[in-house]
Amino acid sequence: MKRILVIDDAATVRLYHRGILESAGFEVSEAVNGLEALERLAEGPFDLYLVDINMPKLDGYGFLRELRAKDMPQAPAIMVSTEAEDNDQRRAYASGANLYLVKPAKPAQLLAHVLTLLGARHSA
Amino acid sequence: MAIELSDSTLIARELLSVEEAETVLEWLIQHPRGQLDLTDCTHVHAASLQVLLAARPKISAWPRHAALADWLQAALLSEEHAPHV
Amino acid sequence: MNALLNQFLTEGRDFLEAIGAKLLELERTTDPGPLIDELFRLVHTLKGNSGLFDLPEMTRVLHAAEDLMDAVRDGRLEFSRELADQLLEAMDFVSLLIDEIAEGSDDGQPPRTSHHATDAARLGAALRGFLGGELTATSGQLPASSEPSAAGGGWSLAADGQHLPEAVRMAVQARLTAGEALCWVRYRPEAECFFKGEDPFFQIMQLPEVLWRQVGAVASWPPLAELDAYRCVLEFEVIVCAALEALVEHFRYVPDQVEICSLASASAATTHGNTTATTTADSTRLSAEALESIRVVLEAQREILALTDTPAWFSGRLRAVGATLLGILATLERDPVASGLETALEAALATDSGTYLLRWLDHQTWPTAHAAPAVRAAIVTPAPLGQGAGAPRASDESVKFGRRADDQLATNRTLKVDQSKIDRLMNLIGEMVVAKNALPYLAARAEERYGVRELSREIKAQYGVINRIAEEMQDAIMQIRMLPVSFVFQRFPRLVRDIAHKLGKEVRLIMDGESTEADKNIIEALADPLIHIVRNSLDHGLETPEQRRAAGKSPEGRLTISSRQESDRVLIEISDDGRGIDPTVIRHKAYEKGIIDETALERLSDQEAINLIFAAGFSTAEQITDLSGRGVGMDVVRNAIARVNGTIDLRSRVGAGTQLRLSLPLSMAVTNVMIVESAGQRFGVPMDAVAETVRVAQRDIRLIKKRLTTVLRGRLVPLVALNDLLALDAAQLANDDDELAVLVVRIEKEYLGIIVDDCRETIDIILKPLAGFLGNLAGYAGSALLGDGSVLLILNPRELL
Repeated sequence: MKRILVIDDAATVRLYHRGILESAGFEVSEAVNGLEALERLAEGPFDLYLVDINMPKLDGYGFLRELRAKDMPQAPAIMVSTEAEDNDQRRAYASGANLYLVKPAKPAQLLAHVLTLLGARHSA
Repeated sequence: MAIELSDSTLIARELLSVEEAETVLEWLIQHPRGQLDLTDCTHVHAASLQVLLAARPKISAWPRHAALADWLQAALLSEEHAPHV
Repeated sequence: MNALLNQFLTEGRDFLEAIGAKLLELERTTDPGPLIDELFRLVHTLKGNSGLFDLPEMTRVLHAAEDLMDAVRDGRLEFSRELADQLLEAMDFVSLLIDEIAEGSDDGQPPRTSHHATDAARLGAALRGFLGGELTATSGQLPASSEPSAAGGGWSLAADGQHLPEAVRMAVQARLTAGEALCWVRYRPEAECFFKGEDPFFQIMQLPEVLWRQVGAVASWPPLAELDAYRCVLEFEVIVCAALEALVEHFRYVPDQVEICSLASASAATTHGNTTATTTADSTRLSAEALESIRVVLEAQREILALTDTPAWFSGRLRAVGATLLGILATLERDPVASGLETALEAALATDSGTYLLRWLDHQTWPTAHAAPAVRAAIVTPAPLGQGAGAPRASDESVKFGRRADDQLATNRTLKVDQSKIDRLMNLIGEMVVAKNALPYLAARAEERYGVRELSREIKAQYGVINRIAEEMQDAIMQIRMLPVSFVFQRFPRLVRDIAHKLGKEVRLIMDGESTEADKNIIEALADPLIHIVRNSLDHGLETPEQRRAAGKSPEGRLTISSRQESDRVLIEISDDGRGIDPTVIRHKAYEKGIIDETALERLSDQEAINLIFAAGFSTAEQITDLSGRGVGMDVVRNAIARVNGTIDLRSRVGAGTQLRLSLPLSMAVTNVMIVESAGQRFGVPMDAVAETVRVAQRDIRLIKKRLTTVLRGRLVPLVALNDLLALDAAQLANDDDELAVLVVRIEKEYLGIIVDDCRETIDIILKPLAGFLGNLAGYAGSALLGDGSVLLILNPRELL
């Protein structure tokens, strides 16, 4: 069972992502900011991270840097933002994101990327 | 496949889709004198449209689809090609 | 309603509230930095949330607000009161949309809010107006109301830029003369639009009757070899035979990318209903596209590997890329070992450089984009069913229920519950209390009618147990119903600010004890009276800065609203340091209005005179303003407070200010009433109004000034017959000793005897307000169900008289 950590301060967005990912059979955990997400890592690495940028306490960039600095198996991370700016995308990649999506990611699109990143088979 | 390619002609059927934009672009770069047959074309995705506009290829047959033909002719036959900035 | 939408609405309201609070705080703070950051984050997140739904109007306004806050955050723009005003107005608009969506959502989808498109455009433009020239050049605004002159502008724009063919010019003129609506549209799709599944050309093709068209590049065309087919550089211009509104609707998903000018005069509003709403590419695009996704993900990894920085987390970043590439290989069902990925990753890690991985990437053969099935054909043709399967399902469906319990850790410990659910609990406990009350009747019947004393005792014992549980349950539900007074207080900062601005007064609002709680009904009943009181204070109490200076006060008036609990009452105090109420003025006003007579004019103490402002028909306003002079006087306020068993007390000193003190019960759900009988019917009278019950001999009742009176404990008490009050056509019955039962009630320190046929026991009831027409009946506080199933009408002595 692939475990995905959804990190977003907006409950609506978490619910949205959870709905999409659970419908595809993934196990979803949530964190409301980067700091809490780091704490969740104690449970062991996740298979994928879905990271918002703007969050209180520790933002998405900060979380990714901390995550990538950890000596643990690294899993792909998708940074989900509301900005379609080149600048943010570069910053996301530099911080350790593997994909940069602009919110709201369409369910099918998001799922396709999740499946690609997890190496899961797409629809038959 | 909605497009058929030869060295002299590109025949587009039904939809010239967003995926085909790159194919069309490649072909037009390699075949600057190539002609387009759009008889059976019903829609050109904007991505493909801008490839056509940038390349301004010779159109051997305009689409039968009247509205599309109107647009393509307005786009490709206009005198003042380079639009104002 | 769908859970996601519900969540959005709830969270949205919270955000709006927080945004409002932060904006007001900003006006006072000396350290705006953290507040501005927080404000930006709130607006940003709310915008993100709205984007999950098809709510272009809301998103548009929020987007503008976000850009504005971003500019403030970056120091490009100074925060100002005007800016706050505009943001508050925008948030009001969003709030309105949220309310509308909450009401209108039936199938889990938000209702269309396109009728607010012009408002959204106006607000968006107003917000962006603060940004000055910075953004206006790139985001064309829809002209919300195109005046004829503006129309001319649009026209010349089209005509001057590129000479219209004479035929077109004539056709346009002819149509305009015929009164048809014509618009000039310029559509510059954003560069990334293809990645969002949009097809701008399709959008353009869907336009109705096009009179003139032009399509080109925003800038000049690059050499073909340098053209990026997937970065949109197109610009469309058309003159189209459609009304402005229809076009705004047509382009509602891309409002920031179009400019629309009405060529017809504003009056020529022809209906062009057949402008079919285009199904956008997004909504028809059902099928996920693995190959497209792989292409995008590969592209991203290339970009990451091409980065030249080497931060502390560099190796983690490389390994994450490795994991991602591994995922792609697995997706393509390729063997990772055979592909040499691991070797390349090790080499990259060893050299601290992405080069080896980049080289590896280039040596692989990746599926090309056009091998992909033409999903985007869905734009014009329905997606083939086979591909439209959508989300793949894991083989084991049950796993999603095996969610780990600690997943819930992330969620808040506070539950948000719909009000109607609490109301239902309340009704249920009400019924429970009633059902419970039937047990003593049952016990009595068991004993008296069936003669089984043993059973009767057991029923009574059981009743005791159920009674205790019911009481605790009731208490628990009451606790849930408790709301903090901040529920009402929270709107005051905004209200006070707006009104003060309007009146040109400077007011400092001080609030205290916002967390004091009381029953929801009490709090809700408090809202209107409190607002009225606050308005009165601002309007009549506090002076203008000039007047205050002249009086030797600080130009800024103070308005204090505080709340605290005292035993089983909630006390709320509203005080100002304004001009106060002059008892002399009140006396004369009251006399002029015929509220008091000449003797009272001299006899009334100052306090009594001040209390006259609670008299019906009294208003101290010298002129009716649009704020508090709506014909609603303090009498209405007092009655509203009294309806929930509250009292109001007013103190004032000329020149020093006015203080109003409200005292309210903590809870009104359970009422202790005395049952009285009159004309064969039973009524309840709330015990807190009852001073005592006495028997008065007929001969002790006298007629003084045509009113029935008697002397009780040396005090003269007026008497009224309940049957007269209720217009029941019967005389009150006396007992065998020719005594009448009298219920003495106390109203505002005055005693009054109500003659009834008999006074009975007191009981606890759950008071329900009278609904429907009965709701308008004055004199009744409500009704309650009794244990035997009958309905008891509860009198409201205050209104009865």
